Amino acid sequence: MNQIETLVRKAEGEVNEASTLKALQEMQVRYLGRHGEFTALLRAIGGLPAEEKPAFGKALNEAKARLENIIEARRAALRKEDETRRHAAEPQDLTMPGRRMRAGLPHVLSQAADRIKAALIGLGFELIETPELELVKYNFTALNYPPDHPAMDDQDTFYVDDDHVMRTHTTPFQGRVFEERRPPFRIFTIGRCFRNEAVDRTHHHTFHQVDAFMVDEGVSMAHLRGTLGAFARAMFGPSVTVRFRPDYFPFVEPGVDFAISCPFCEGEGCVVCKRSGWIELGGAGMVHPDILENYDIDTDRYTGFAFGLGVERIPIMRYRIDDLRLFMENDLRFLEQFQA
Amino acid sequence: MKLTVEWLKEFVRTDAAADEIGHTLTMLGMELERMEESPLGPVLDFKVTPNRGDCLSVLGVARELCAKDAARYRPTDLMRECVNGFALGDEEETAVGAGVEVLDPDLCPRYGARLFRGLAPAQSSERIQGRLLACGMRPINVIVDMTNYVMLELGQPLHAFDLDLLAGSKVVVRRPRPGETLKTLDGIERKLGPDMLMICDADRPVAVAGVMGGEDSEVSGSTKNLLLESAHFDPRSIRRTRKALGLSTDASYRFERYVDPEGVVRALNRFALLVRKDTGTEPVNGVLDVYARPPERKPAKVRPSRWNLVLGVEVPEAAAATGLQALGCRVTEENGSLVATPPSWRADLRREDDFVEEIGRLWGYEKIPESLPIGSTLQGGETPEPALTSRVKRAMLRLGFTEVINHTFGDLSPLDADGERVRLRNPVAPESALLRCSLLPGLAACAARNRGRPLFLFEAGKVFLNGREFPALGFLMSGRLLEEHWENKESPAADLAAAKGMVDLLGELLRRPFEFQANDDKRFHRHRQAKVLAGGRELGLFGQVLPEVADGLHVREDAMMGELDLEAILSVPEATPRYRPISPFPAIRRDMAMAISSKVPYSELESAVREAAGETLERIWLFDVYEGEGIEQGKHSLGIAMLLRHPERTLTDEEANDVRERAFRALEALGATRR
Ligand SMILES: [Zn+2]
Repeated sequence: MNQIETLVRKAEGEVNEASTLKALQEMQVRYLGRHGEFTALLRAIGGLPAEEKPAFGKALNEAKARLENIIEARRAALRKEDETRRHAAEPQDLTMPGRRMRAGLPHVLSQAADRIKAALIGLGFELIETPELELVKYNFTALNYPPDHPAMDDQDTFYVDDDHVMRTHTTPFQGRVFEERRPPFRIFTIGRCFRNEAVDRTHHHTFHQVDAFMVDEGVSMAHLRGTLGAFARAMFGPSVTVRFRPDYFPFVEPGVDFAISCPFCEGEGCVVCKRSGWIELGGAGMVHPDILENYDIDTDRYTGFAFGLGVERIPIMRYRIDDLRLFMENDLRFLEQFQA
Repeated sequence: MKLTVEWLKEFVRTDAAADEIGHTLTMLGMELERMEESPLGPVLDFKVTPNRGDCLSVLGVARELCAKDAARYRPTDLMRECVNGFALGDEEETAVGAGVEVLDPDLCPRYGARLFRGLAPAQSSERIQGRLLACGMRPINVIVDMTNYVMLELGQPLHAFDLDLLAGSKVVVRRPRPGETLKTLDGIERKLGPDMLMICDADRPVAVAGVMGGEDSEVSGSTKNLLLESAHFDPRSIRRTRKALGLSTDASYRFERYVDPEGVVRALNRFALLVRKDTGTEPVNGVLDVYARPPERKPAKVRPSRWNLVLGVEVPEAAAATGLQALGCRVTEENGSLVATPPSWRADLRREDDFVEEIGRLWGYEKIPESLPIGSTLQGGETPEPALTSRVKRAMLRLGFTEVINHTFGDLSPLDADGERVRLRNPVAPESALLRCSLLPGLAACAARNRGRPLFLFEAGKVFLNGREFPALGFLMSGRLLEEHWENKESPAADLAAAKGMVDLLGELLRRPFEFQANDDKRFHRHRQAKVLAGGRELGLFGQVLPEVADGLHVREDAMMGELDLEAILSVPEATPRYRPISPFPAIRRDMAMAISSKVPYSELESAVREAAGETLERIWLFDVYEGEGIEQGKHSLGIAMLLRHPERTLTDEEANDVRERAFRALEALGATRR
């Protein structure tokens, strides 16, 4: 029994002397571990008379528990000391820069394109991709552009040869769809277009468009207006409405230009809408019956609508960007302004 | 086109203010671009779409306003006179003193003329001059001014010839003979193509029909007698001719957009009336009028069911009929449908839906409600090609890259891929004539533009090579992998291993495990490049650009660049992950250090270890590579770590040591010695 008491006292003395958590941990192993001194004492129990064994075992367990408490108390004290010392040695300055990981940044035009995609996919449209280097057949002929017609004037075209052009709009995807599918369908595309124009702040020979169209039974201009309304509200907020005014594109009849009520001033008039309360967004209309007939689609059974708009317009309006050329200059000082 | 409001009000009676008129024009399809002030009051500057040549005049605009809102805009007496052709009463007679012969009636369906004697080219009245100035035209003399005035008012271009300068006092409308040329009013000697229509006198061409007059027959200070031309020419031929000559005039602009063939004599009459008023000169009695091909106007059936369906709003039949009539159509009713015949000035109204548009336009698009299409329920989504591009972009963003978008057009670059290129016939500049065959030159330009900072850039876009247009992914890595920070000044710069790690991870994100092979592309460092493959297909490459190439492009010498063919990636089937149970038992790490010939590829060592270790090997990685002191020449020392774990129980130390022993023996079989 005295052995136990002696051991506890010796241990207690050492524990209270321990000056680091590491030393304390070592002590704990030395006394209470699997090969520690208390385990050694326990082995001595074998040599005792049978009647003394229970009392010895009980005293040993109590002593162990006592020592564990002493060690825990010492550990708590040491932790506290440690912390106090650390705080004193490491003054905290949260204004110093943190260590940052690299975050990928989508191009501002991709951000706009992604929003457009999400809105149109939500309205049941399917995204397809068609060539940038396009056949004259799809870019003009199949879209009802009459040869030698003034409608070609705003389509200054880059030619590769007599049959191939850089697409001047994304609309040629219509002909490719008509050749491969039968109605009903709702399809859209987004991509680069090219026009042979002098480059300045507001013009570029390369720009991006989105074009969508649907053909089904009973499709009307009301559906066009409803779809554009839903699309515009997805893009610009819940209060936006759509206005049509007559316009002309050879591939639609009737043809309209569509504008949205200015989401930036709620129609009051501001710089973005040039004080008019309306922002012209793109062209639209009912798919021309000439085109449907060219692809053997019964125009009495099927009608369709189509619309298109420029992608650059969206960040230009939203962020008040005043120079179209910036989009493809890729200066990170520009791109990094539009985190996503 | 510019018109003064006061001129318009000569044709329509209205109390609408200028901006209200402007708004009405916009809602009719003639977008008001701006409103100007002039000494004659407000000027409307509006756009006319190319299908509506008939609106390029006061008359046309007045007609549209009256059709849109008959209560607000009423025709004046002058408008009624105009509709009646400003008749002088002598139109049935043939003028004496000159002749007109049309040899090509297809290109000139109608040619009319009036003759004037003793009309001196004095200044025109202030009223005429004022209107021309306000509408953006320069007054010259009464003859030229009146032709312009009538063109603005009625849309019919007129041309005045000095009658005394026309050989044989004769106009012949024909195509040029071989070798004929013409000096136009702008003083340029023009070569004439065989398809151009010419106005000639008895001997030679005197004007390019519908485009520009000739210098030799021009009205001058000494002109006394006039032949005034008013004609209808084939719009396509005018367009081809003026494009071939590189000329565009107010006359050709209108002829290209269709001029009313029925308005030919009216314009001659209007000119005569205005000249009489301003100068007192009377025209020679009678007209010269060769009307070989009057236009055919076919009636179209216009069904109420059709316009209600297409417009999505009910327009009463009476309103539809009234509207079409107000636009000049002849309208009858037949079995519950309208039968509409368009007026002579509307060549654009051909089929039912053309009339439906007119009905909707006049009824007002603002009355069309919003509704969403019902019927077939369709699933929106992305087809595989754009879906893969989107996914690759997302993957690159996850890998910390910034997206750039570069031009399709460019010049030759040392970073171009080898192969057949596409060249533009009419580039904006000679250095923008080639379609890009690789995304690398654009990325290098981005790196040069943003020099002086770490760059991790990518672009996903179309490239054009060897007759293919296909989507590609290009990337550039240059500079420190981690942002510079006061606690970590020694972050390594992007190198071949970083590029390989990135591409490898990209393959994982796309669920198409990539393989890598040595490569020998001339754009890259011989030993610092790799070919990327998957499923046996070559997908692309990456590497460190040659120093001389990098230097020429102002890119950091240690920049890593690469490019992958997304179409090729799409053709590699995507792996579907299969779930494996997760072992709850603890893992044991065992390390192996060895020396081995540098010629033995690491992949061989790894597969040997995998095979020897068996199912308890969870992960294997290379944690150390060393060569130099203490290692034999031609060898290096490698440290390979294994993480071992048993799926069903706790692995013992002895078992782990056994695995290591087996692995070591497999490595020794490949020539490794333990260290
Ligand atoms: Zn606004």
